[in-house]
Amino acid sequence: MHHSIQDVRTYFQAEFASANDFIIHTLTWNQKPIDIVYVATLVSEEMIQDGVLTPLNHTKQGQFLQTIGLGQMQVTCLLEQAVDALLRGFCVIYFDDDSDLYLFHTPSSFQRSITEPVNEKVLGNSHEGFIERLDINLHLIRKKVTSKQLAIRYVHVGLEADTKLAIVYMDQLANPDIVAEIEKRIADIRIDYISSVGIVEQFIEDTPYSPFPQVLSTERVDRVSANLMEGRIALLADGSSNAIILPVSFFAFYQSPDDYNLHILNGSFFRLLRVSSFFIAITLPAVYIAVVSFHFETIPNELVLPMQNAVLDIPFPPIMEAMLMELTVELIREAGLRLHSAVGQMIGVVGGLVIGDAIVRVGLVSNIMIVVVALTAISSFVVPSYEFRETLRILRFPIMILSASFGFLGIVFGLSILLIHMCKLEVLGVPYFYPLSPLNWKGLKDSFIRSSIWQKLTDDCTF
Amino acid sequence: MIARFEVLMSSILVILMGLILFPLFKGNVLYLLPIGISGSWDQTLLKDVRLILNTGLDEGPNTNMRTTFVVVDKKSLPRLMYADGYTARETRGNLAKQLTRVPDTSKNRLVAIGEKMAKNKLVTILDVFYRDPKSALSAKIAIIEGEAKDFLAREHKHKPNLIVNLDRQVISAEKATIVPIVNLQSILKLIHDPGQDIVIPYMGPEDSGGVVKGVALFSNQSLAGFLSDSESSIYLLLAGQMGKTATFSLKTKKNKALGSLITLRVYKSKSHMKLTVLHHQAHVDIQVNMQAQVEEFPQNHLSDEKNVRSLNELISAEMTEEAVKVVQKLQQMNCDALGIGRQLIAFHHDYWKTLDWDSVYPTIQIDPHVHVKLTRPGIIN
Repeated sequence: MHHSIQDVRTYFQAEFASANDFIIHTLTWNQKPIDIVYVATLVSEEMIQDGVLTPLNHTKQGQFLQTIGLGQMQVTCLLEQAVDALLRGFCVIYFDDDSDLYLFHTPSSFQRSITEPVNEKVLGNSHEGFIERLDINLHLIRKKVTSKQLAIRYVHVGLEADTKLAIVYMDQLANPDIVAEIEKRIADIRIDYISSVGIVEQFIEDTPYSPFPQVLSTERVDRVSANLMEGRIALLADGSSNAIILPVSFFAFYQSPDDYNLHILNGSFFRLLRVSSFFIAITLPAVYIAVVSFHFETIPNELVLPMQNAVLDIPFPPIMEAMLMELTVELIREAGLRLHSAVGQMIGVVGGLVIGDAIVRVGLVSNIMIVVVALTAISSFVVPSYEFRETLRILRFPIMILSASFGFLGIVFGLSILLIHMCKLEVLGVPYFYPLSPLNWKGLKDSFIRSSIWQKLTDDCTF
Repeated sequence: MIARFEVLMSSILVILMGLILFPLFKGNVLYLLPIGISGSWDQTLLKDVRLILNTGLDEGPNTNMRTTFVVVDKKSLPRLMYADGYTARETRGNLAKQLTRVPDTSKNRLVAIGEKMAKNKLVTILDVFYRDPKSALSAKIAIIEGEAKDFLAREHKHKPNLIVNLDRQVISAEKATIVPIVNLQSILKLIHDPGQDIVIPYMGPEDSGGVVKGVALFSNQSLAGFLSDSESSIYLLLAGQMGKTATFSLKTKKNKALGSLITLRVYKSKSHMKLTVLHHQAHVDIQVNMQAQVEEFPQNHLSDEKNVRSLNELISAEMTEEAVKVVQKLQQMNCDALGIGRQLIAFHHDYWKTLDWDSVYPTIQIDPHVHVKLTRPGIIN
């Protein structure tokens, strides 16, 4: 397929008609016109100047490939592919009467430095976190998992603007069926553009309406590598600083990389603490509501009089009281979340101290309710996974309503429904509530408590 | 008005919840409707009730019953309120007429029954406590010397804030093996048991305030007599119902002069009752083995084993003597507090069927034997 330089130029100009940063340099070399085109905002113009423009201007003639001072050359004769390459920071060079287009990779390298993820802090161990570049993220994983079995498969998603995804797993450890299933599901994604790996997650999860997160999202390199070594599969996308890990079970969200650095007793204690925080976070306000509106005979004798005094002048039923306070806490949380940290702190002070204190004095909410809501809020922050925190936020509301309607009976109903749902839930064919359902005694050793590393080595169970 | 508001709000919330859960149940949101419709029909808000903390039951001047209620005011101050009626439930209803909030007995701590009232059958007095689903079955029960009304009023005058803790006094007496560990629930079992009679803590007023005076003995559900605090301890050890400890002061010489007594604290006691029926005669033999710690013994010569042995014998004989007296008292009052009838029902049923236990019980032979062993001399030697 021969095109004249004029045809190619017109084609590019038409494709990038509305892009002012699209540059075409025309030079004469070997007495022939030669075009150098690139998207100025994607490439390092210094590299092009030093590697292409200056040598060509100086020599005026000679052997093309020896003159160009750039590596990473690709040759194509397809214009569509050239357009694609231009959008990835390539510069394209072509001659008159030559069907080949020469593509040189001249990316501008602006990148964030590797820092510790802000919302997944650990005390010990590595402080590396992913950044927004896929190649660097994969480099970090490769560096951590120095094994030839580490498989990295690239896939492209996005009809209009495609994004490169990487499926990372250990060849011998990961279940090939699950890998195939993930590949199939990703291939089925029909969407114009993927802004983050979280979008991919929503496309491949089994039960999209379940309140529970079905993949583990993390920015930590050590968490990804540890999960890879346990046979799970990680999914990374170019432009996202987090990886998603699947298939995961309920208990994976309660594990922190820190657990394994600590002494067994400490690690187990913290893990038990976190699991108990799950119950506190979803049931404590409900239990309070049930107690003060149905079962106050369960309050100890010493506490019943102070408690009655606290709620006596509150104008609302307990459910309204709880909803009001939960709403306040959620508002404070949501307001402080995305603000600049200085303003965020101020909101914490205003919300926590001023509203908390004033609302009791005004008599809208009892002081016990404040204790309950504060304890619940703290408990829901204990989980080391961001998505799970959001789940806990949502889950307690239906249980509160049930407890306001039926008392303890309602709480039991609510928790039963939750339990049934969790037992039924599967992630890519792997049970979500494993090792509790289906029950596996050996697996339990590493769920509620942390079993010792040497035991784990002998009876590790992978999917 | 408030109730309607509540139902409206909870219905709205339930519909919202339904919308959240809708996809989970694949659209079968109709299952959730009952929650919204039901609202909160059996709610009893803590702020809407007036808690009754103690109840006193007496015979009324004109009606069958006068109930004394210890209720709490807004500032948690206890207050006495009286209500008359022909039944216990009616008095409660009459109390409600005097109050703005609904009276609630679910945190009731002590049921005090006046001496005169206790002469009636217990079941006629206490029925309301068992029929009400929210009733506090763990409430302590006590028979009061004189009228419960006067006792409570006096207590309230003496220590207005502490009247709510009267049940604690009973509990501490339980620990000291002065009264049996009973509450409304455990008494119900005995009320309908022909083979065992009821024993209830007995309290009375003293100058310094209410004290636990011993136990009240019942015969066929009605009050028959009392045991003093030292007698009740022995009874409880015979019945094998020791609390945490039991303390006795016994004389080691003829008189009770200061310095001649020994105070011992029983820390372990085992009672074994053996019932034999020979020639249509029931015979009961009770062996009690106790281990005790010496609390006070000024004559101190416990390092000598021979002395200890003779002391053991002396004390055992004295305790056995006391036990015989207690058993005689029980038989006189026709109170089968040891549950001998229950043993007969279980192991000699044919014999039991021929019996009129009420007339036979006072005549049977009961031999208690107490063996005390001083095993801990205290920290001086």
